[in-house]
Amino acid sequence: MTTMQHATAPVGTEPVLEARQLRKSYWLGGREIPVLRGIDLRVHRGEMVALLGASGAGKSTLLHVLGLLDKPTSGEVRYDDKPVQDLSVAARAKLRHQHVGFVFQFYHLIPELTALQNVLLGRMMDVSPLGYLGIRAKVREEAMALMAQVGLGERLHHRPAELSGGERQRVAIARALLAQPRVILADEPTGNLDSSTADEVMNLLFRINSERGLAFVLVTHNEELAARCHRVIRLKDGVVVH
Amino acid sequence: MPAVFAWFLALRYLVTRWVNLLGIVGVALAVWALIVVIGIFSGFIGAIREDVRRATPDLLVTDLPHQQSWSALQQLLRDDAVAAAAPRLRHVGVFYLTSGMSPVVRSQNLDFNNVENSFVMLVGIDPALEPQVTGLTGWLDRVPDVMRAPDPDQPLAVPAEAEYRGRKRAGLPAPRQVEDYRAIWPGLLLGKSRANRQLSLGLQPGDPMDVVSAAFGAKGGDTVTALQKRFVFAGAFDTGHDLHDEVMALVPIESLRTMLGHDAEDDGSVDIVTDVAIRLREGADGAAVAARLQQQLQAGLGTTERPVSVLTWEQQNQVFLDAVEHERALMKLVLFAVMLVSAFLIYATLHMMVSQKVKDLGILSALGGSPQAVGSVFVLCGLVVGVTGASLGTGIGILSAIWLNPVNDWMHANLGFELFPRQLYDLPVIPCQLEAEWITQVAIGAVLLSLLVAWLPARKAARMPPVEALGYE
Repeated sequence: MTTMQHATAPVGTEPVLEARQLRKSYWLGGREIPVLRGIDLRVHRGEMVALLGASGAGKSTLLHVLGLLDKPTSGEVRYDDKPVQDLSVAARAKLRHQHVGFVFQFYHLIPELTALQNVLLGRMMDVSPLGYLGIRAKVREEAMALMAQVGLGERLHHRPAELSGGERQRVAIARALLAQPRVILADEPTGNLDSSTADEVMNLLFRINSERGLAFVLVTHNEELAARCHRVIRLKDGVVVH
Repeated sequence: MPAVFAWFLALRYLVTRWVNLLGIVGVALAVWALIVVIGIFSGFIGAIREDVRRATPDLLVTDLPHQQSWSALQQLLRDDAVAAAAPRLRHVGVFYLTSGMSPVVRSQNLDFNNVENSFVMLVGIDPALEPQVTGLTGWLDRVPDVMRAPDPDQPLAVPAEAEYRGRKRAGLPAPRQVEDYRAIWPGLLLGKSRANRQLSLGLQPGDPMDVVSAAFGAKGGDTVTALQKRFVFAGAFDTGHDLHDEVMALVPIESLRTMLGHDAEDDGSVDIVTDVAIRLREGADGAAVAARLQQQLQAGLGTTERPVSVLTWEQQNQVFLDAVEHERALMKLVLFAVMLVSAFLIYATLHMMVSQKVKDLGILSALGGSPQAVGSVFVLCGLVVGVTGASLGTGIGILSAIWLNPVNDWMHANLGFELFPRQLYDLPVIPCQLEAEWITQVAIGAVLLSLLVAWLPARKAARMPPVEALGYE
């Protein structure tokens, strides 16, 4: 059973993530299909924002554009009040690594790696092999601590295929946290889990939010879950509705 | 330098997919073949060059004017770099054994392989001067005892006793007592393989041989004069260069001059030569001396029908040496095809891997991997496959070359056959010449080719849009 709780949204801080008049269209057979039609959004440090909407409303597309995995057709994405969408591909990748952590509905773990190795990958993206040698022990310690924090201290060396859905999602959360991002973008993180496991995962996310002061943008269909967040943004046909 | 995740994932992908072994084995096999086969080829070529060198004087003066006198020529060959010079006289001929061998015996030895004929290039040499310019003494030592010239100091003279026995075997008139016989025929030396075949037909040192030839225009106009002279088989020589030895017969230059109508005792005879063999002093630059001598000779001889040639040992065998080198180049090309097949294997396995790992590409992008960094995972896979394969191939190749002869000996002793039948190639050991430069080129080439073919799947991976990759099913 999901516990309903409304936290107070942090105010007075600069937004860690902002979207200004964000538009995104796809073209199919020469015809424009608008998916996002002028989204304005601000996410502050420690804030947990729920993105609600029906399928096709543009929630995942918005998340991809906010996470710099996709470019907007027009409009602006700002991290810490700086525009980022026009940076080079490499610079955007680096910023994505430093600023954003992703949690996906289908976990997206690499099957050849153990749970611990999947988590460690979160800190291997922008370090040279020699540089990593110097921080390896420390990073490994941090990763193991995170695994213990998400309740998987005993499952470090299991491969994804040997873990349950909930365990895999917790590995994905630990991986997202290891790089110490400013904001976590979670795309239906409980969409593939049974209700009791989904509760456990969500409680974990809320705990991380309150303990670490991380900002969250949480895509969900679940009204109850959304109600627990600081703020709910509803999307319909690519626009924010109130 | 690719980020640590690229190295880490490349190694994980490789060790969890046995199919990548195909690429490693392919590269190793190609590198091994390129090292060992070309090593053996180079060894053979080295041996061939040695044989050719042994058969050839440092310089050869040829294309001399018709009826050129040796005495007149000697003045023109004075040069500080020339250590010794010896005259040679070449003329084609046909030889027959003057033996009582019956037609039945001859028919039993029919030459079904068409390698036997009686044509021969008679090369008249000065037995005193020739050893000073070529390894004639060594050529005589290299043959088995049964066909060795009886007197190494006078290889073109057969002792009276041997000639007497030969005369008797041929059914020619002979005195009753060998003591009453005096040797009268000049000696003739055949190349080893040719002498060997003649020995199998019953030829022995001391047997008479008739040489027939013709002189064209010797009496003016279009006349052809038949020439015949009797020689005696004196033994065999072996320079090691079989193609050279096969066609040559060494005879005393004076005897050949006599056959051609220039007997030294006749009035107006000329000590004719067609070629001059020259030995150079240590350290002399053959090409430079050849050019200098050519100018000197041409100036001394005046205008000649065609320019006098002075050839270095390599120029004398240019066509043969070029053909051998060309074969080595062709062999490299053929073996490079093996390398291409292994490169294709790497390409195919990596391409398949990229197709299987599309979702991983999206994950890596989401974690902050740039397209270039994501693609580098597959370039590193190619690099690891290439380096591992090249290292294995190089190591095994070098070991194979070192153990080639012991293994061949063992196979011969225990299994009854050889990888390289030495009798066929007439070599005491299988020559294998490893060249550090070639090994380095092959190993680096294999790695570069692996990188090149890995770059194509890597580019495909790098170009995959992250959102599309994450949604890939």
